[in-house]
This record gives sequence, structure tokens and C-alpha cells, in this order.
Amino acid sequence: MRPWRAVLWALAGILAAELSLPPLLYTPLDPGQRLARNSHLRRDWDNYVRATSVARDPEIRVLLLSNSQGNGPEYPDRVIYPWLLQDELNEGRQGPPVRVVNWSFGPNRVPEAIVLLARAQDLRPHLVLAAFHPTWFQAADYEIHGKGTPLSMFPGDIVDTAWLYRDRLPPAFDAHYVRPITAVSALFARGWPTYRFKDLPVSWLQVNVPWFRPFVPEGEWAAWSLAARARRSRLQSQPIARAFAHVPHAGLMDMFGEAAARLHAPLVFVFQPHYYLLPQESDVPAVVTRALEAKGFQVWDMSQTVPWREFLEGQNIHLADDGHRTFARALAERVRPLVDSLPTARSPR
Amino acid sequence: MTFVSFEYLVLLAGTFAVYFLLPWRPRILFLLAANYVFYAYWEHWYAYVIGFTTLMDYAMALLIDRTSDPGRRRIFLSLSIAGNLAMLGYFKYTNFAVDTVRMLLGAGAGGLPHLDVVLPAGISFYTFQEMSYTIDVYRGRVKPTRDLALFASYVSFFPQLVAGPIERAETLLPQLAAPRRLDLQRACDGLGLIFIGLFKKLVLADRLTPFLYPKFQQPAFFDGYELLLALVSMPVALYLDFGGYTDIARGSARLLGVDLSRNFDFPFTSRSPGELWQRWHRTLTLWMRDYVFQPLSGWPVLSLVAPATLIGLWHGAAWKFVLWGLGNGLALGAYILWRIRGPRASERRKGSLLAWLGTLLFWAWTLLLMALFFCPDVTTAAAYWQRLFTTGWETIGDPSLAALVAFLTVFMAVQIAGRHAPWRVWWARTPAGVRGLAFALLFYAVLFGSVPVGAKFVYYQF
Repeated sequence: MRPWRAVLWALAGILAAELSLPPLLYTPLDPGQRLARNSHLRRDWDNYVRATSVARDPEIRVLLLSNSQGNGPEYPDRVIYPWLLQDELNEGRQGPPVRVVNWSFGPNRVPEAIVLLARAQDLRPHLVLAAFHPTWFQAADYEIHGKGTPLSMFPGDIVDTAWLYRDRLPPAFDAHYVRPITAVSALFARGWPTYRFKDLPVSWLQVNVPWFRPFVPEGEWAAWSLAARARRSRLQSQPIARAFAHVPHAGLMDMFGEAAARLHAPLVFVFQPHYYLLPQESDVPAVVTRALEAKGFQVWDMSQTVPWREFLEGQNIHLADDGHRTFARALAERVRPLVDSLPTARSPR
Repeated sequence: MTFVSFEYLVLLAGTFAVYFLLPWRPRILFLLAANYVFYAYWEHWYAYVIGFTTLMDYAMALLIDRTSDPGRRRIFLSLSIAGNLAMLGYFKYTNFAVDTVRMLLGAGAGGLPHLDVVLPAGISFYTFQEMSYTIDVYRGRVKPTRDLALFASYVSFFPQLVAGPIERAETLLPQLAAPRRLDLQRACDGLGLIFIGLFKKLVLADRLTPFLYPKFQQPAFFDGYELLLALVSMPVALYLDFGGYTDIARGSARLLGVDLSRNFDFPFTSRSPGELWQRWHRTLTLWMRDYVFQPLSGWPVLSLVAPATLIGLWHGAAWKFVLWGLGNGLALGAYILWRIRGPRASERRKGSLLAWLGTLLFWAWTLLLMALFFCPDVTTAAAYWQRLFTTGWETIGDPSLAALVAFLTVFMAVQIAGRHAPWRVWWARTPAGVRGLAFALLFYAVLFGSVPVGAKFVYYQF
């Protein structure tokens, strides 16, 4: 009898936690709240995108698309550059407030950005900022071993967004990615959370209630956890060639440019700060610049804005807090004139 | 597949669900299939390697048992040992030998190739387990089994296949051979152990290691205080990693009704080298004691140095591991000499100043040696030691390092309490409600506290 009693108590404890924790820990997605990112961090951006897409005119909406750099791993919202950029742009501002809508997502995947741009048609941004590495348009996002990269390789959010918003996507994207998606697979993505969040550990509890681990921004963990990765790098950065061997994929750049153009807003592509030094001979930035300028983007090379000491120690990928400050300030300097010149009104979609 | 993967969860849950439903014979065959699925999931050819050594040792043990002629018995035993060591040597030590010859001969060894050999996971563990079987059969301690499926299950038992504990046939074989019924208490205990292991691994070890690892890779960038803390903390991280693995292994086995040996017994409370090795990776130490130390006991120096060096070499095919093992062997030798020739027992009694100084000296030596274990090579370890003693301690007061000191304090308190308190008795007497809620708490600690992706277990590489 005794083990059964312990098991029942364990189940009761878990049930009590299941019922009581979500209201305590889960940040509701209130459109009026100033959110720099999803309270689930990079997961479940479907909810987050929907909540942040609500216009609060009069305001200037700056849509920021970035990868993990824009999510500021290890730090709470208030010290990462999208938030600081918003502060900088609003400081002393006379006109309507500027809202930086941070739709930074996790991995470096172009299709994810393109479906987000489709969703951004609801947001009607006044300005679009895309901050990525020049080598972002990698061929593996387009095809693998001579076959089209299946969307099923991406999180479920992309699969069902691509399906549900297919009429907003560039035809080339539709032809390349969406065709294999069926209503059944979209339903599958919506109906089976483990598929939807398949990059997460599979647990009924974790996937059915979206308050699992990331309910506390990682920065809060870092404040007391032992990892203590929130430190400045002290390892001198080195030139790195291998990472720049990727030839940017023209098809992806075309799709990305076309999806962005549908927002009818000024477009800026920023080469975001990175720790490693670009070899002088690399022509990747020039190739990307040419392709995107042809699509109406301004391309700003800000890759060396942040000194290597202002990156996180150990991983040498993400910005440390002073790196976020430095980058936000430098970015604001360049964005401010653009923002000041923008018309406040945006026609409804 | 690693223990912290979805695939393992499926395998374990599937095996547990079916295992007790089957009669004994199909059960063993089913377990054997699960073992091979687990192992071949890494690389399918791993299964051929373990299959070959299994057949070899199965046959040799039967041949040893069948004859009473001492010469023939010795030949069969030698064939078994040579076969196992040849496999281990080829996969693990070939390039080490080639590199050493190249280093010794310099330009004269220019033609020696560097072979593209992949080390099958866990080979160091299961070859030792197999060797112990044939040696025990030779010594008459174990009766060989004629059941090939049972023997193959003993060799490849998946909870302990890739990183131990290294089991003996006399303890594991009878457990596998017994037709057990599902015991809910044991299953609950097993589940608890699995979650304790996950907590140690995913919540503690994987958070500590990325913070500490760079110190051993590039010591030149860190000051003395950080290096000292890293030297103290990295063995703790290793213990949490390997101890976490062992807990998951023991928990998984217990779900299937099998008790595996404890590999750790609060090692950080050890007061001497001898005690440390009885508390740290005990199954390896006991293996060395029974199969290397005892046969060499006629040669006092060799009997101490050889097992320690072998333990070093067992951990990796590199000179840094040899030196690390030798260093530990020296400490053990010095300790035994001190026990024999040093102060009288009354003067070095527990709690005396002399005893404390001895413990301090032993830990200082042991921790300094750990730089060899964690640095990529001997040169880096030398740079580590040099920097440890020659640079300032500017980082004192750094909050993250202060957090590390606080963690180490709590960790040591748990170790000391664990050693001295009768916690197993307390736990057994704890009301079911408290136990159940403690499990729920542990469950959430793992769910929320674990790092997103668990790194590979350190001991998988051995």
C-alpha cells in the first residue's frame, strides 16, 4: 500500500502545481503591456505575434527581426538592445512614441523570418529593421542534398503560419515550401503540441501548458545561477574564415526581400555585431548588400560596432549587457533620422 | 542514445511496459533486443564489436570450466584477456601508441600513419566487465552460464552499458536470471533515482561545466582566484555529471528489478587517498584491486603504481592521463608509507592537527593533479599551475564567483551530512505524503531548472 500512497501524493503535488503555477508564473500577453519579447522567450511566437500586432496609434512601430541576439540570452528584457533602442528613440522625442516590436526568434532560419513578415502585415510597421549576420541566407534553409528543405524541419509555428497565411507569402516561397503542406499537416501542427514545439523536451506538462521553463527570462536565472555566463569576454577574438564560406542563397534573399516589400515601409538590413572578425577577402557582405539594395533595403554594416570585450564570456556569440548598450546607442543614432522623417499615419491593411 | 534524450525515454518506458508482462525466456530475449537497440542506436557497427567480444568470452568461459588442466585453463583465460585487451587497445590506444612512437623517434617515424579509429562508446566499461567474468570463472568464483542470451544481456545490459557501474557476474547474472515480478516500491525508488540523476546532470553539472571549462582550455586569460575555484569546482561538476549518470543508470535498472552497485559514496568527505578511491568510482577501483593489485601484491611498488597508472590510462589515451594516474599512485604510496612508517596511530587520530594537515595536503595534491585531467594536454596543465601560483586574485568579490563559493559550501555541507547522517533510515521512515511531495518538487526542479539541451555525459567518452 505504501508505494501507492507516495505515488498518489506525488501526483497530487504535481496536479496542485499544474493548477496553481500558471496564474502565478505565466505572464499574460497583454497588448497594452510593453513587451520586448515573449514571456515564453522564443517559443510560441504565434501568441506573442498576435498580441503585439495590435496597433496603438498614435505611435511609430519599428518592427525588429533578429535572431537570438535580439532575444538577449542571459539577460532580462530591460537590458537588451531592442528595449534600449526604444528608450533611446523616445528620449526627448516630440512626436508620437516609438514602439520597437521585437520579433526576434531563435535560430538563424530565413523561412521563419519570411513567415513573420507575412504576419507583420497585421502590425503595419512604420519601419522594418532586420538585424542578422551577413551569412544568414544559408543554402541549407533552401535545399538539402538537392531537395527542397522541408518546412517540417522548422518549429510547428512556422508550418501552420505558412499554411494559414499562405496568401500573404511570396509566390516563390509558396511554391518552394508550402505546397507539401496539407490541411491535415497544419491541423496536426495545431492539434499536437509536441509536434508544434518539437524542439523542446517532450513532456505532456511542458507542451500542453506553455508556462514551462522560460517563464522566467534566462537573465533572471543568470542573476543567481551558477553558470554566471553574463560576463565579458576576455578571450581575444580571432579572424574566422570557415563561417564565411557559405555563399548566400539568392532564392532566399529574393523571397525575403519580396516578403519585406509587401509591408510598404522603409526597410533596413543591419549586419549585426559579431564577435569574430570578418576576413578582409570575404565578399559575402558585398553580395548580400547588392541583393538587398536591389530589393529596396538600406544595408548598414554595424558588425564591428561592439568591441569583443562586450560579448559574453565563454560562448563568444551573444552580447553582454554593455554590448547591448553600445549597439543600441549606435543603432539609435542611425535609426533616429529615419524615424523622425516617417509619417505617423499608416493606412489600414 | 544518451540518457537525457527522448529516444532513451521511449526505450526505457517501452522496455518497462513490456518486460514484466513476459515469461522469463522471452523476457531475456526482449531485454537483449532492447540492449542492442540502445547500443546500435549510436552506430550500428558497435553491435558487432560487443557481439564479437560477447561470443568470445562466452566460449572461453565454458572452455575454462570444461577442463581441469591448469595449463589449458590458463591458455583459455589468456585468450580471453588478450582478445578483450586487443579490442580495447585497437580502438582506444592505437593512435596513442603511434603518436608516442612518433614523438620518441621524431623524424624517423615520419611514415607512421594516424589511423582513423572511432572509439565505440562504453568499450572500456564492458570489456572490463567481460574480463572480470572470465577471470572469476578461472578462479572458480563464478560458474559460467550456458545461456548465451543471458550472458549477452549481462554484458550489454543497457542501463549500465556505456558508463558503468562495472558489474561483476556474481552480482548481476543472478539478478537477470531470476524471474522477478514487478515491485512497485522498487519501481518508485528507480524513478526517484532517475530524477535525482537528472537533477545532478541537467540542473547542476551542465550549468557548472560551461562556466568552468574555459579556464582549463585557456588558463592564460584568468587570474589565480578563478583558477583556484575552477580547480576545486570542476571535480565537483565531474562528480555531479558522472554521479548523475550513475543514478539514472541505477534507477533505470531498478525499474527493471535489478540493483546495480553504488559508484560513489560521498567522495568529497574523504580524508586520505585510500579512502577517496573507495568512495569515487568504486566499481573501477574494486576491479583494479581484484584483478590488478592482488595478482601483483608480491611486488609492493608495482602493485601500487600499476593500478593507479592503469586507472589513468583507462580514462584516456594520453600522457596527461598517465601522469594523472601516476600522481594519484604516488599519493597512495606516500599515504601507505606514512601509515606504516609515520607517526603512531594515537598521534594521527581523527581530529588531530596532524590528521587535518594530512587531509589538507592530500586534497591539495589531488586537486592540483586534476588540472592534468581537465586541461587538453600536459603543457596547458603546466601553464595552469604556473598561472595559479603567480597571478593576482583580482576577481575576489565577483558575484558569480561568490555564487560558486556559496554553491561549494552547500555542496560540501550536503556531502558531510550525507556521510554522517543516517539519511537512508530517515528516508525509509518518512511518511508517504512527504516522499510523494518531495518527488513532485524534484520533478519541477528538473523541469524548470535544467539547461535546455543536456551536454553529453563526460564518462561516455571513456
